Amino acid sequence: MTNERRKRKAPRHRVAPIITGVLALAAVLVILTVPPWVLPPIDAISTGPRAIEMVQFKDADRKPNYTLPEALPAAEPYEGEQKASELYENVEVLGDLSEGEFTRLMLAITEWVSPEQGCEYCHNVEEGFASDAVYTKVVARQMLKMTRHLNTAWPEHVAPAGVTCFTCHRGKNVPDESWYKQNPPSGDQFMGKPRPWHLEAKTIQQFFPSVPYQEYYLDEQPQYKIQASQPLVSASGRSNTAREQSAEDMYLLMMQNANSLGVNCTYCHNSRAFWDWSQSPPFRWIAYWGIRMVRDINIDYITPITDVFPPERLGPLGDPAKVHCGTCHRGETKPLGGYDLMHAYTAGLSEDGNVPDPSPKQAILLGTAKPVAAEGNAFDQEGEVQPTPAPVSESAIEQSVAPDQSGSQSGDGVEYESQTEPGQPVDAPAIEGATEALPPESPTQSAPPGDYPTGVDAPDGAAPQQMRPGTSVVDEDGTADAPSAGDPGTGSEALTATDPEPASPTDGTSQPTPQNEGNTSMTPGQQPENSVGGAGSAGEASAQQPSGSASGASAGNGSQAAPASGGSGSGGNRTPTITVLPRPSN
Amino acid sequence: MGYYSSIYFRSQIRGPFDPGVALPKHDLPRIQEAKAFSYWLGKIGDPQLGPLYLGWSGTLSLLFGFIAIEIIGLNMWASVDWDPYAFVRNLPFLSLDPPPAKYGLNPFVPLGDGGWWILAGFFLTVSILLWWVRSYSRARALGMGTHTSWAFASAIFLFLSLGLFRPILLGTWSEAVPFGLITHLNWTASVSVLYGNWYYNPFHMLSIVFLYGSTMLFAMHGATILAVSRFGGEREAEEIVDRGTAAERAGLFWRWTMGFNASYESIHRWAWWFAVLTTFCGAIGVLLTGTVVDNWYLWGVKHGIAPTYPSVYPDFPVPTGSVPGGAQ
Repeated sequence: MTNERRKRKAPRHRVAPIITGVLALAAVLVILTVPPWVLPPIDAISTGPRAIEMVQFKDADRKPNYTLPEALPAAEPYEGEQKASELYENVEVLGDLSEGEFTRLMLAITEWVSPEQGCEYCHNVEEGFASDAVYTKVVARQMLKMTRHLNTAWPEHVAPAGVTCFTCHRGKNVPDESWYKQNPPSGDQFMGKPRPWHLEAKTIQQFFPSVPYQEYYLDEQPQYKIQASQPLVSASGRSNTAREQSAEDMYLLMMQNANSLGVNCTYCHNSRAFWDWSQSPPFRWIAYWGIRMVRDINIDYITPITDVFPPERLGPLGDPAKVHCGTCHRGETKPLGGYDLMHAYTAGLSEDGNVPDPSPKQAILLGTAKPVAAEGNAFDQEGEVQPTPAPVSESAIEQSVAPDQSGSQSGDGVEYESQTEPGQPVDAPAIEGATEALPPESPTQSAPPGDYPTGVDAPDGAAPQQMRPGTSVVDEDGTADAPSAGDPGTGSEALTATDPEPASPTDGTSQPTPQNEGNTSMTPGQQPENSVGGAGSAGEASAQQPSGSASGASAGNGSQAAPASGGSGSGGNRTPTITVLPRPSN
Repeated sequence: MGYYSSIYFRSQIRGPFDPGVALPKHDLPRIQEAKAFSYWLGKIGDPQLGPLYLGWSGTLSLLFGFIAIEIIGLNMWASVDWDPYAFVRNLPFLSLDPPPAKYGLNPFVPLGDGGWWILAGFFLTVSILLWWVRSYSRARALGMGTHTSWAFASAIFLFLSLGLFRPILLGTWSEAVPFGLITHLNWTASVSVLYGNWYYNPFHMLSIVFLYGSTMLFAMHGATILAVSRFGGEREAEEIVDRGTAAERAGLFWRWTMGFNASYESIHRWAWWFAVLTTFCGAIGVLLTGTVVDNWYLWGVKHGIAPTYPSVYPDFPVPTGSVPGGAQ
């Protein structure tokens, strides 16, 4: 190496480490400061059996970014107080309220929805408060109807806290999260397709197309078979599952829902078998009705008033902003941490003056909780491994139901007790009154429950696969937990919730009864005692399950199930479509 | 004994320019303009750059690959109305999707409805196959074996299984993977769910075994050679034929550690097979999905590889509507 060469290289060796060091330091600083890091501790809440990682993660330090509004002081009734309809003109929805309660609710709504504009946001003060001249008043009336309907007819989803205007609006005229229709891609352009993503997207969720929203939250819900019930494809060689592009819409919808709730898949599903209700946490049941509630809102309450909105409130395809899970939830499993603001306004915000009936949800989360404690290799045909009943960890049950008992402030959706406003006493009488079991509505309520095992334990075709009561759509191949149509209590064929009666008060009382006894009418071939969970009967079940889930299951099973499932539906169109399915022992 | 470490040493080994061996007669000349020495290349390898052999297969491969990338990129850009800001910002989410299922395997799909995807896929496939030809012909020109080509072929087999063979078996292009960063991940996730959880796919399991095994073998081998480079171990090629002290020590290390040692030759055979089987097994798993097996979880249940777990949730009624018969 010559001297010249060394001279040329020497400075480079002195400068390069400095430059490299500075750049590296800058990179480290950027990485440390720019992203919104979540510092430990991170709470991990496990809700499943050990070792299968059914875990929700939560940043213990994260505080909600909203301020809970105080309920206004209760209106003092006085002698001779008139109803709102007697005092004011053009009161369509709240006419039965006393004057004091009516005024109080109006003030509250103003605070919830238009704190800046005040009354004039909806009322044309010059023409008088009765005037419908401002479009927002018409919208507000519709939204009031909707709120009352949700609190009364959808206890499966909104109990016990209930919803108010503030649940979505949060002090803004238009809720932050909503969606519009988008142009579906068409093949008529030379290159590219319409922009499916929002340029102003701030979250990952907003980048994704809203096509799945339209599919599942507005249009006739697709009935895709997302997962097949057979290990192998059918004899014809055709796959029984949906096309990938259809399934991807479902995937996007589910990811958007999970994002809305600030959870991951395993909050509602055991991700190893998404379709299997028997392995799913009970929150899936709540979310299931939530999806239908969103449809109810969009189809029956928002779309009908499309013409009311001025153009600037409409989307690119001329449709009003519609709701999805995130409109209320905003990253929390319980909107506003389960704050029961609605309980202070039951007169105006529910159709029957009561808080939402918590019993259906209670029955899901607590009431019927008698977990089947069986464990073992159910598919051990040789019987080498004797299934033994395993004690179920009490803590696991608690966690699956109420893992967040200590941190009542966080309101992370998993504890059942209604969240109350800080410093306010619990509205105990209201809750107690509502939790009181109501008598059965009619004998038809006890329509034969679908006494069919579900999941992998089910013989093929044994699952009740009618889409709605009264129909007998049975497909031995389908599992496909694609959300189907229908309201909790809507036995009608209509996909829309034109007949929303999900709040059948008997839900809560009728559900627990047919627990494990209910399986005496299992499909032929099943031992009736195999759901008791004992070792011996579990062995029986284990010997049968392989054949049940094997590909060789005949279509005959399906036809056997058909009349039965039709029968359960024919108990009356008005019966709730939920039936008790005994959990087969694993 | 002196040894050399490319990255830590201030001096570089730099001989006179090496033009390489003479090429067979029918080969095109190498690009002699592309030759230089680079200090930074010397840090990570040989400081000499070029000459480069392009040949007709390399030229066409680059051309076809360029066309494919252009089609994908311009379609993505068009999907944001040619807005450069939106293009950059949304790039991870932009996508060029295959045609919808209604077109089946029809190759003549309207361009905006997936026709561009077919074109992009065609050009990309041709480009990749030509690159394979290039890897093969260059190896032959040097009198080498063609192990690189066949390892590459295994990866191409996986690529074509995803984008060509499986869609043909299922009868529609719509089953193929879209071109796009997030969207191809969405495809992966939804296909896994759609066919009942791909983690129960035994070929997926094998593929993962070989993938992780590859990284482990790579780490073991790389570490061994570096550790004996002070004894000349980086001159691996010579030590394969004529064991020196480096090879002896490296072998002894593993024999002492785990009772068995690969040889300087066999370790490369191990690594080659692990790498090749990663993509090959993956491709088999892809081809069986939806054509033979419809639900890998249930397949696992049937064959006893999916354990059951104790049920810890309260019994709750299953909405009857939730078990539809699928699209009827």
